[in-house]
Amino acid sequence: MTDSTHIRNFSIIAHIDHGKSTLADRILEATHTVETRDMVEQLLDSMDIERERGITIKAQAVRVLYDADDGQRYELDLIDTPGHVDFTYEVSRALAACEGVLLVVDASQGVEAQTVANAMLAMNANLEIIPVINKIDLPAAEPDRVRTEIEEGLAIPAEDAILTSSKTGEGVHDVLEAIVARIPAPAGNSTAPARALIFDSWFDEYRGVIALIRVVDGCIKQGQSLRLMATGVTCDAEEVGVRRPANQPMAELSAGEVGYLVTGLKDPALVTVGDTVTAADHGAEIPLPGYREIKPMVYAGLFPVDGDRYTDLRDALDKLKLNDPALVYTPETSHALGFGFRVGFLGLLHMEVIQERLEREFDLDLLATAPSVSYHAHLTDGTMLSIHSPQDMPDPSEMERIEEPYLRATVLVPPDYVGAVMELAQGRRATFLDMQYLGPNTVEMHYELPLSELILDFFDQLKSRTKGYASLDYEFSGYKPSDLVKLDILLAGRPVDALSFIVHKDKAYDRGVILTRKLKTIIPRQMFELPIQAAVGSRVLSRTNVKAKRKDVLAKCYGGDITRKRKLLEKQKKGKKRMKSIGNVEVPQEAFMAILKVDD
Amino acid sequence: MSARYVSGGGVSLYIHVPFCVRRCSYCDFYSCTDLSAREAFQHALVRQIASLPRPESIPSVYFGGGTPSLLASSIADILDTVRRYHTLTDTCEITVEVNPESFTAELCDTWRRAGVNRVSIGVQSIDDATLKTLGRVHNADRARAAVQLAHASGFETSVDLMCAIPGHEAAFTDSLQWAADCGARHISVYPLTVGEDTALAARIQRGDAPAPDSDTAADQMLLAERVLTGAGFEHYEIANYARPGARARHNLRYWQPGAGTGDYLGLGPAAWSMRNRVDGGRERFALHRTLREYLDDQCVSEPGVPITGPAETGESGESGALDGVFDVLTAEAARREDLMLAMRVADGVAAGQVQAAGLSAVFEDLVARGLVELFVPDIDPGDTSDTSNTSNVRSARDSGSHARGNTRSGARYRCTQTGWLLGNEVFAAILP
Repeated sequence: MTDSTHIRNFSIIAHIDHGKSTLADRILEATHTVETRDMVEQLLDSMDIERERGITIKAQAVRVLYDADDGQRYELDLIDTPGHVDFTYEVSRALAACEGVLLVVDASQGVEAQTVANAMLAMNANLEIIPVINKIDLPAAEPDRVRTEIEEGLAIPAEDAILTSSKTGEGVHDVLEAIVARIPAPAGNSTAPARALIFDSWFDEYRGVIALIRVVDGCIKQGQSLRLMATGVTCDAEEVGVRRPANQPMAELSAGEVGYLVTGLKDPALVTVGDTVTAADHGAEIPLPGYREIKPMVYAGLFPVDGDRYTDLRDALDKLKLNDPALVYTPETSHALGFGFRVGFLGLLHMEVIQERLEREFDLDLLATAPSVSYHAHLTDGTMLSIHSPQDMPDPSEMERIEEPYLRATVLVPPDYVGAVMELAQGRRATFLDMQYLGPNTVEMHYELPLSELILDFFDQLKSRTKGYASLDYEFSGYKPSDLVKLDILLAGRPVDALSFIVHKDKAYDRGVILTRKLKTIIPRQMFELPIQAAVGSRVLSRTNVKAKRKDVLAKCYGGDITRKRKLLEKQKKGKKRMKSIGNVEVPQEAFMAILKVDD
Repeated sequence: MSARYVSGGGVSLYIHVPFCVRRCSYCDFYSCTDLSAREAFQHALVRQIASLPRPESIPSVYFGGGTPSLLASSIADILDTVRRYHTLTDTCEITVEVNPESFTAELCDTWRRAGVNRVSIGVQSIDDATLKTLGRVHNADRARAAVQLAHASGFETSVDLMCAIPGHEAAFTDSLQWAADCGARHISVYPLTVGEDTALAARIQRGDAPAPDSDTAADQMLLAERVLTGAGFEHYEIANYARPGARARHNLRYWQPGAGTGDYLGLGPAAWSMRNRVDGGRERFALHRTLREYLDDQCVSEPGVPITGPAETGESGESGALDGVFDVLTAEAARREDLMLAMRVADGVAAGQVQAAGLSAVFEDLVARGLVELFVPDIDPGDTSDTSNTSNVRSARDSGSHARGNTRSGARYRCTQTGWLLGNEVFAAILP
């Protein structure tokens, strides 16, 4: 049993690339949790993709022991959270397991959109916020400016902000002292019925689902019978313990502690983030607040390039879902692409990560269709249909109205680029809400815009139009009626279902023209002339032709050319295998994503 | 010869002469413009020839480049060396590539006496403006004179023409007509290919010169076929035309490299060799990439050390045993390569050979796509090439004597006109 006055639960929050994971690395080193020789960069990010992209996807918890300047030993539980907006709910649950956060801000970049979003989450959770200005070793560091931004922009006192360099280790000791001194010890009633918050879980092949939990009241003992309140499932605590970062079993986890729980359950869907664990007998009546079912925001079709690998794709998705309950999928059949899945994602990053993992970890070649959002079709018979794929769009005559999801977006940008942002927003059906100065160098702008416009290359456009200065965050704000139509693309006169998409009526013509023009550059010349058309219903909006190719041969081929030529042809043939034959037209993978790049 | 190689078909020699007076604007072949190394090159070449193990016989010798005519009378010395150490067949075809500006009457005499019996003249065009764009050294008058001289000297003569040169499309018609009438019995027609990292590529990149257009290339290749076959030439390979009996025998070895018929050794820098192995596999290798490597090579500077092929260890792909490049094909890969290359030639491939390679379905699909046709030649041309029946093959095509779905002995597949122009579709289908 740990004396809870010597426990500190904290998390590190930051905008991407501001140094969250490296600061965590330095803390693990400074507390000798991991010896320097065993240290790898981004230790808490165990997936290859996390390390390569410098992002955190899965939450992690690690307990470090710290001998503070006051001569006492403290148990610090560091909870590493995903930083990206796709995973906001997971972040909010991880924060609910803490009493305080380190708000890391890059000393040269200053406050950015995810800094604001994450700081808001921390404030809403009533957490102690310790501002940390990181990367002060950089030549472009301006700690004083950043301090002002934190104070004026976030209304967080920053005179005590700690200056650090995760690179040199400077300031890390101050950070540890501040955690002890400023973050409150966990409160909680150790004699009340047990309540523990699940803030992440993963599937272990041998032990079943393992959950990361924060005990709020009472205690969770090894061997105890437990009940998960939202799903109603019961299980035994096969093992409880803390992560240092390897699992260290304990007899129990008591109020205020963070640790892991081996549930022995085989179905990850039963152990959901945000659920409350209590005792099976005489358990708590009221669950911890904040539980929410996870709903995907973005849907896309995933098809194996090689149709024979459909079952491999299904098995791979099943496997990934074990560690990613947010992943949902249903079988989908496309005339053009064959058998595949309609997959729901939390956002575009989530989609990219899943696709990359499927291709890399399961050696699959995939064709992804352009992502769409979940539309609500209200039918004339009063029922509502969720539309996850353009193919499912009902006939306009059957619909009373159709609604699409809207977001409230926050853009942070230097004043010089306000005009550029406004111009972009205007083209994307965005409604301006308000703007304010967070300091002399940063303007915070708020918009409401359809999610479908945001997933259409919005972030890349925002970055390029503001020379990379703008940062973006958003939250779901609700469904609104919209005048939407389904735009079809026809190749050689035949509609290709996988190229259809849903678009606002006023934009159908422009998108049709841009897309046919774009497809003309992407689809290679075939042996026959290929017309490409964009149409809404039977009305053709635009048309281009890909001319037939007439000469494709190396006329000069003698002894020295043969090897090079054969290898080139073999390589091209491999490339062709990544194309999909639709009828007798070879369509490259890029074509299916062309819809997303409309502003080139 | 090492026992691992097939014997019986002789081994041809390709001798790469890596010198040019200046680089043509489009060309990325290996050559150098520092002519002072010619003597060292000749010495090295002579030593290499002397150190080669004795092949059974040499059915053809081809001096390519670069600009072989820059070696002038040394060509005769080199051929003397070949004869001293090796055996040429009685009908050995000995070709020298010639640039019009370095071809003289005096040279003709020397070469004739040394046994050269064929010259391939890089005319490219008889339009001065076109030649200037290509960065060629010669002009149209010089080209005409070179062809006349070749005839007068009794050489079998081939003329190279280039088509689809942006901005000079119209002039091609005149060059073509001239070539058909100039007396040459062999004509090659290539669309302009702009090599990477060449002066012309840079001009196109900057927008200072128009890029070659593949539709124009198709038009002009078809024009060439119309004019030259009309003038009595046989279109026997994608880019090559010959009067009966005048096919380039050395080049046919490249396209019909089957065991016992196609082996060749490349001498000099950046020259490729090909040997068929007794296990059905095949080796292609270029021992030296540059003149420097060639001159520095111990094998070259110390007579007696054989250069026959890559180290025995080479399994596949590229090995680092020597500085050169090795391409080792399995028997299966060699079979497919045989088919791919043979489809360049009008004789095509025997249906039985396709069946043996398990590619009947692939070929039938190509037939369905109009790229390939099945035909029965009046007389089976056999595996090799240059026999007088070639005009019969041609007439088989002209008369459309098809044998669709028929695999009785003698039936063969060949490319249609479309199939030749879209050869990469055919070749890619054949490759794994």
